[in-house]
Amino acid sequence: MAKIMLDVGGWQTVVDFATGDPVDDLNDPIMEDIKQITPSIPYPGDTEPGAIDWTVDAALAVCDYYNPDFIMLAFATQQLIKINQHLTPEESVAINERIFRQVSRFLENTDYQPMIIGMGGMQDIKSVIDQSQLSTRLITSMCAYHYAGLFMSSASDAETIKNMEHIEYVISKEELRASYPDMRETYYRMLPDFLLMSSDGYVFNEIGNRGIVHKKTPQLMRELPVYTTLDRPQHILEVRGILEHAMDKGKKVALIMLEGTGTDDFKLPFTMMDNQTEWFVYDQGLSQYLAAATGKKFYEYDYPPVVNSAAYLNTSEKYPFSQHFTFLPEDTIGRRPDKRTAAVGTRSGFIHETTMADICVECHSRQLSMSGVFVLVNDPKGEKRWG
Amino acid sequence: MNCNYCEWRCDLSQGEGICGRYILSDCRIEEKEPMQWVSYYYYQIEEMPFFHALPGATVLQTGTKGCNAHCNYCVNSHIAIKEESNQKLKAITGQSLAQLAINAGAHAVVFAINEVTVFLPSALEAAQAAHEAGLKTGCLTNGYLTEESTSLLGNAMDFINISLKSLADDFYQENLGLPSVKPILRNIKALSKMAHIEIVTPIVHEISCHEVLEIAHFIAEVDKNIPWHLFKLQPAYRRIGENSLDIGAMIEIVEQAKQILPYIYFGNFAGSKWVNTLCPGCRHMLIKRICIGSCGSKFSSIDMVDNCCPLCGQQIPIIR
Repeated sequence: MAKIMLDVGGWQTVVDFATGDPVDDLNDPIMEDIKQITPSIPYPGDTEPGAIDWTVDAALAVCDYYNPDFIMLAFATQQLIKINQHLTPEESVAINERIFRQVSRFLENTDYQPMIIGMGGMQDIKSVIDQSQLSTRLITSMCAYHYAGLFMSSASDAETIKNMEHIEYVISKEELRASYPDMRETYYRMLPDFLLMSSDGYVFNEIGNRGIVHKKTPQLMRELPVYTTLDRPQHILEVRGILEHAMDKGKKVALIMLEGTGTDDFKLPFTMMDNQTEWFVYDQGLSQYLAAATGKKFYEYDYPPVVNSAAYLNTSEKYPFSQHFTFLPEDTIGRRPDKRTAAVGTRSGFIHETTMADICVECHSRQLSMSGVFVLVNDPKGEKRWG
Repeated sequence: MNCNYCEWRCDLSQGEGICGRYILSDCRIEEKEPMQWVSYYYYQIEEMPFFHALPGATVLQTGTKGCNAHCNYCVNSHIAIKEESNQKLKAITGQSLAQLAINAGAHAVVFAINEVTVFLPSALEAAQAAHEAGLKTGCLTNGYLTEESTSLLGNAMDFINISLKSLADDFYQENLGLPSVKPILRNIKALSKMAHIEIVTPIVHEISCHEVLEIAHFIAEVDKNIPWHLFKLQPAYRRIGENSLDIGAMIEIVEQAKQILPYIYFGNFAGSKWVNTLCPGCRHMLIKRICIGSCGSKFSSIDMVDNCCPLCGQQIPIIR
């Protein structure tokens, strides 16, 4: 049974991953060990620069304990800070440089072959897209910054959308299914009537749920900078295959995802790789994590890039600690049966929801409000030796 | 001319009051930006938190900006206290808010995010529109209202969550910038007779067992069926970086307080086991919730026959 250990400032509890029910009779030596480790890595908070160091502290602790063949390190702190706080140019540079120092610290203290991806820089918001002529507001979700969905549209909305400014691409639900007939039924059902992609820097909403005005927004990156000592990917969908191929040759590999880092501030020699499938550009967030961890195209995922999350508030279904996800990807690099896998990072939820690695260590935060450290021990494979 | 919305009773002829949200216009006190909202979003009602009103319902949450208190640990200081230069409110009519709620399958409009007293006329107007559309209404308040406002609020809302931080004036003076808790205690008593109320006590600090039990006794004297939420709050704003509450120590205090009040909840931290509703008679689990972390709990399941425990038949005070 997969279990989650939650460490809230030293108070710990273990719950069933699938149901969220407390696990009172633990009898789990791995989880007992994890409970000893997490007090030494308290999470500083989503907008604390110390969270950058935390990612590496947690990764080194996991490597020391589990020695995974694959590990993902996800650095979300830069993006979270730059969206929510005004920074001076010096502060902005310092955060990015801190990330690269911490990445170096990880690599110097381990023997991993890295695949480091700059998920895209941050920029000023050019404008908020005028939606006043639509019959209902557009829904944005899940860090899909350049995407929005129109649900419950009226007959006039199709024409209105055509005339909206700063919209790069629009596709209807039926057009999407006709284009990609193999998409899952659940994917189709959750699609909006219209899926819209904005032009670079134009946002559908500049205010978060808690009313915080966004200061920056991610760039829409059709290509991403990547540094690796492995084979060079030409496309983000090749990343998984290259990492798996290297593991087949006995190498240990680290996928390092840098949110908020683009070409201007990538501190290592890089090449560029494609970051789009046809018209769809993988946005800085869930879709990039899924692209890298699964190697699958956007329409092969379990969920569309935008869902009407208000319709999925009820947690009586599976995985209550995994946002609106009631099923999670099984065909990922983290689910590889013959290799140890781990994922660590500061993007709460996406770490385990995209990799499904054996051990996932992530901050547990909601709307920047920090709850502590979340560790998923995910159906450990019996033949593996731990520690 | 003095504002009569909250207990500060600011003299608006001398300029902006404490909250800055009311102005004097033609010898009338008016909201500065009526029927304008900072955002709206959909939540489960348990996240507000309301545990004994519409279990599992989706609600539309909205609010404005500003506050009549100045909590030094405020988690919404970007809205309540510090005004961001490009923080624009959006005009939405009460009818439109109600329609947005209905479109999303929500059962209520809840005025939260910031203190309802600083936009009371708009809240009342929107609540009336929501009621006309067949929705319930609720709000969160710090309780520092005048008796006149308390009456208006109590008559307009179906359920109200009142924040009671302490029973001590010096706590309110030091941490909230409010002179006294007494108007809040008065208003809790008044509102309990007008609407369904729940009380939340956010805790960012170590709190003594004595003080918790004292608050429990106060609530029990008003009505022992009032649900009480002890809410672990991560220190923010001016107290960011402080150590947060020792959950283990608090659990022991909560267990003692359960002897005084039947519906005590301790949550707002991931994995809390103290968010379920148990029958006070036979301890049967009536409503199961999962606390997923900051911002509250989520409804999981309910096992009640009408509003009674299916095992022992005890009636449970819940709005459904």
